[in-house]
Amino acid sequence: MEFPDLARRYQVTGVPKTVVNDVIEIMGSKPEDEFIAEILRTTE
Amino acid sequence: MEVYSAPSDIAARLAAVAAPIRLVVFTQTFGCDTCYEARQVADQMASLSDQITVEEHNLVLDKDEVAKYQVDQVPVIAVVSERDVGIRYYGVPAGFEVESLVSAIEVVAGLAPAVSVSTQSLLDVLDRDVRISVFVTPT
Repeated sequence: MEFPDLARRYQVTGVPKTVVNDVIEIMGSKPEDEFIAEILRTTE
Repeated sequence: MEVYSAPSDIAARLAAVAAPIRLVVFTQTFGCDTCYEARQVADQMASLSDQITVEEHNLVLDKDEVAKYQVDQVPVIAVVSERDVGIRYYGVPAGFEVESLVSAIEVVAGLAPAVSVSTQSLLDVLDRDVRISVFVTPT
């Protein structure tokens, strides 16, 4: 596995896993609108 | 949604690239088992398009480039055109993951929209950079 340190730091136990600004975690794939809603949470 | 492109399809897609694209590959000499492979993938992409070129920099030695592209691990491939929108592929885009690199090239080259029109309008309100890290595994 590449980047085991990153996998540990972000607690990646499955893929795909998306991390937004190091704080918001999205597991699996999502429809684009739901994905964007998560990203926009970073502006709150 | 298609998740896999046969090599011949990738060749056709990359042949359609009409804007100069640089694949900026960061490697290091020691302690990087996959750096050579990442460079090979970048070279393969470049061999399929006159518009795609490859640059290689060393993570340890080329400090100016490391700072410019804000990379901190190797291997990494930055996909840039005249503008650097921040797309980085860490690791080797092997197997199905080559699709991620090809798609990134298409987006950066302006061949494919990154998001739908409605999503773009939502993103227009963003007034700062957002760091999106997607963890994948090659298959």
